[in-house]
Amino acid sequence: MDDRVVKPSVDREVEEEFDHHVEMMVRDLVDNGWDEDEARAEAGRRVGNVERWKADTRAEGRRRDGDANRRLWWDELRQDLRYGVRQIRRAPTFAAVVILTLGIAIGANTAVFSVVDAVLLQPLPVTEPDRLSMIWTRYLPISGFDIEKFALSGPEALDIADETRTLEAMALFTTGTLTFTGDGAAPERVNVGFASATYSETMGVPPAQGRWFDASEDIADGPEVVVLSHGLWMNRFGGDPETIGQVVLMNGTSTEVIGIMPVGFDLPSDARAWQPLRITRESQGGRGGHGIAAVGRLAPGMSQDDLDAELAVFRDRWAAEYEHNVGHYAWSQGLYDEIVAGAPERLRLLVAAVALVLLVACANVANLLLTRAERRRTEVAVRRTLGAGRSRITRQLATESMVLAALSAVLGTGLAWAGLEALIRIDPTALPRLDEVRLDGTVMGFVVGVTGVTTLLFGIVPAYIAGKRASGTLASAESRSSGGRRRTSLRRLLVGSEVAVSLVVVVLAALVVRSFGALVGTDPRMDPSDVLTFALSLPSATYPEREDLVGGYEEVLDALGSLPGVESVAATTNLPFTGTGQWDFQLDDRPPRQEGEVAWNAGISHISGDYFATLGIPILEGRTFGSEDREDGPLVVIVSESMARRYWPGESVIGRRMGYEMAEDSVPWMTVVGLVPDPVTGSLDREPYPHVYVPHAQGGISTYFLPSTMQIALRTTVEPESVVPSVRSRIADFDADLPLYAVSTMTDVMAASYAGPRVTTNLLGAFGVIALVLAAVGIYGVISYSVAGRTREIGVRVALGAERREITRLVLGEGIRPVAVGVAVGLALAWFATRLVEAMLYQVEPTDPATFVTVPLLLMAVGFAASLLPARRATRIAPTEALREE
Amino acid sequence: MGRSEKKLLHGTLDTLVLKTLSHGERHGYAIARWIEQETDEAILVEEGSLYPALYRLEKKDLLQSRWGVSELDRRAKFYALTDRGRQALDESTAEWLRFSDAVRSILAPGS
Repeated sequence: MDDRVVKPSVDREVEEEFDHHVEMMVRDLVDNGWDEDEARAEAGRRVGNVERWKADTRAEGRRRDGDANRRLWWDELRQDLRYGVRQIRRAPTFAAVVILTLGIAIGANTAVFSVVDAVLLQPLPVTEPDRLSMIWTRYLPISGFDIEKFALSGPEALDIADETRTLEAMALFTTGTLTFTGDGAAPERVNVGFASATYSETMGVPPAQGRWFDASEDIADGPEVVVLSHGLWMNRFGGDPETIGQVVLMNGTSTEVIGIMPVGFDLPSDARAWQPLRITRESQGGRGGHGIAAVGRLAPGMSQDDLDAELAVFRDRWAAEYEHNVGHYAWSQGLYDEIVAGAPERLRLLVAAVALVLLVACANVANLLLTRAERRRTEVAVRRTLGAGRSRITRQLATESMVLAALSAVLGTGLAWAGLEALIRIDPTALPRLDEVRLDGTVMGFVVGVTGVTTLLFGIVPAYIAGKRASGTLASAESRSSGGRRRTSLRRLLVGSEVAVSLVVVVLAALVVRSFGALVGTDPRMDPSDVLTFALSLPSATYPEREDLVGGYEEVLDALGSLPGVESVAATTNLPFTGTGQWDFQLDDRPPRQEGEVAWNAGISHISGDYFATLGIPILEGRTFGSEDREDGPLVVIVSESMARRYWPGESVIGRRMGYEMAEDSVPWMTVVGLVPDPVTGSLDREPYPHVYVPHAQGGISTYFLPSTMQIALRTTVEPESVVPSVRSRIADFDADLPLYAVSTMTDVMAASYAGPRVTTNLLGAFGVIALVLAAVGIYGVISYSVAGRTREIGVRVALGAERREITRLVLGEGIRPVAVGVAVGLALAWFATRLVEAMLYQVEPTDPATFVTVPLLLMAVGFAASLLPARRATRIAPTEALREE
Repeated sequence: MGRSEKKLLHGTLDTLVLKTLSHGERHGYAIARWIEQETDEAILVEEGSLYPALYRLEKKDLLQSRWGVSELDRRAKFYALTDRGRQALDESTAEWLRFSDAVRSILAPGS
């Protein structure tokens, strides 16, 4: 009887069906008077090629069963999904905690990944970027400097360009900012790449229209030409196809537009136009005049190592030929590493931290699911009794997890999107290429992948365990006491690991936050409040002579100084917190520097107006510059403290003389008239370095040139931003073609100097907080559950006279133990993990004692607090209620 | 008339099988016999077409089958229409009538 119910395999089904068919045929024939044997033979004839028919039928049968299985699978999935959604709706708090936990973790990972994707993984806008290398120079301490990476000088760059065999093309370039006018629209400052004729070819990016400049234009006094970026062309010319051949003004010089680059090409450094570099061996500064960047395209079959080997040959030759090149040589770096330089370290740290947060989230959710699975043992057992297979139950629970994960992924994507929008809005320059960050297909793929892995981590394992456990009977499920120990220890293990991983994240975050605190807390050695700054550039076309330029700036300062709300004004070539060049100088009270002796050099600023008062820099000794320090007056200089300490330790600096060797044996001596603190150059974590200030009016006389671009600073008695409109109109009255640019408060200039570390710090800080909260939730969940499971035991203890305090201690002890183990393990892990941040720390040791004491205590406190609530609940358990529980 | 000349138009066999089963469940042999008898053996059903067709109709969820005991007192597979099968039969009957009307109006106008 049984095999009439059981469905046979397709093979047997077909066999049996054909047999029956033939038997029926035989019976009909016999009924019609055939002899049994003849009937059988006739039936065989009529059926014909029976094996082929059977094969056809079997094939159809298999297709039929495949379809049916698929249908069944989909039906079950639909069922599971419906069931899962119902379960989630039945326990909204549980679902909310899970979705929030995972959503935040997935969101954080997605945001970080999309940054990594844009910064590191997206291709650069050049052809075969892996074949491009930048060439830099290095100064070893023996040279007097200790600089890892510095620009080339013209002769050095040309030496390499003329003779290289490993590079098939090489181009030199510098960057600058020019005023773009002449097309009728408002003047605009644009970043310009000054590049050699080979630049377009080297980059492998030909102009989209027109042409790149050629060698005949890349020579001194060659025709003035410019290639525009696609963006500038669209903005200024509306994409007019007739733009090529038009004449525009670059800093007031008539210049012909000869080409337009393709969309997206903006190298170097956000260039919006390109002009010939026009460098020669005789260009200013000679072998020591560093300021040239070089990029080369490796010839086919050549590698970065080949290039470095070739540069080593130059190094040895140069060292033998030029005193300048002792301990100072060229080296190369792949363009890719170049563009993202500085970022990978911070990004690696963020990726590591955010992945750890995801792990903590998974452990947490796995714990919650395990706890929930416990509560649902009866339900699972009932389903099992009603005939659900073990794998079916596992699959069903896994589906539930997937529904949760999918909802988390949706939330996470939303959070990532919002977070990135905020990040880009707050500070688009915090990371290189940050403006290219977006949630695209790759990122969505990452979300799907990370969600899948997450589901596997937090969902599948508990589902498997639950399914396995489902082999138990209904009766055993009803009894709470059976088999709890192993599951409890699994949960404790999860809590322990969670605490350990959280501790690592929090330690990393704490170190970086402390380091950032130290950075921001560094004395800026000036007063940045109530100072407005902007840049101004007086073009040589309108201000050709030195008196025009010096006088022009004096007039500008006078005009601005009389504005209401303005206390004092000044101009400088470089504001604090921005970079500066360093020049070698001579001292007249000692013989010229000998070979091998540490070089005498200092940063230099040309200043005008009431500079020190405006920027809140105290005069420590002597005086500031006055109206007598003009072109025809005695040459004067003000030096910084490090300068004084290094060259005249313990003595007064006033009256000392220093100068720049403008020509062979010709040093116009400047007399030191004042002493001020060292300015912060670049960023606050830089060691203070010698610096000198010279009057702008004496620029080009005591120094190599008279600067034509100056940063203007105004100390205001009102909100600095509030004077911007009156400043603009005053400048426009002075010269309508002058653009005001880089308008900012000094506070913002200072903040911009640590924008990168700030983003890293904020993100890491956020990850640390998330990890802490997750750990707290995890500990709370486990202890609560454990208390709920031990209601009876606690009730009995209370009935037997245990004091509340004892109960509290019992529960707290149980909560704290896995936390303590986790903290211990986490400390060991953190000890190694801090290597990740070592290079980024400022005035904080990677094994900072305060951090390594505070963070474990913090986590213990969190564990304690998270256990306290369930502990207090336990003390309120009434013995009678406890006994009813079972 | 040879068997080959009585080959069924493509798709017609499916409709005939559905029609046969509209009178109640039958096993494969009975389906073939019924069609042959109803058409006075004008249409002979080949086993090589019938059984694949039955499995295919099962796959399309137009038929369902169960194992039962036949008049030979042997285990046999019985086919019955599903709701979708009944619907499909109505549709293809209507289709077929439209088609044959159209053919008749050309071949024997006015009849």
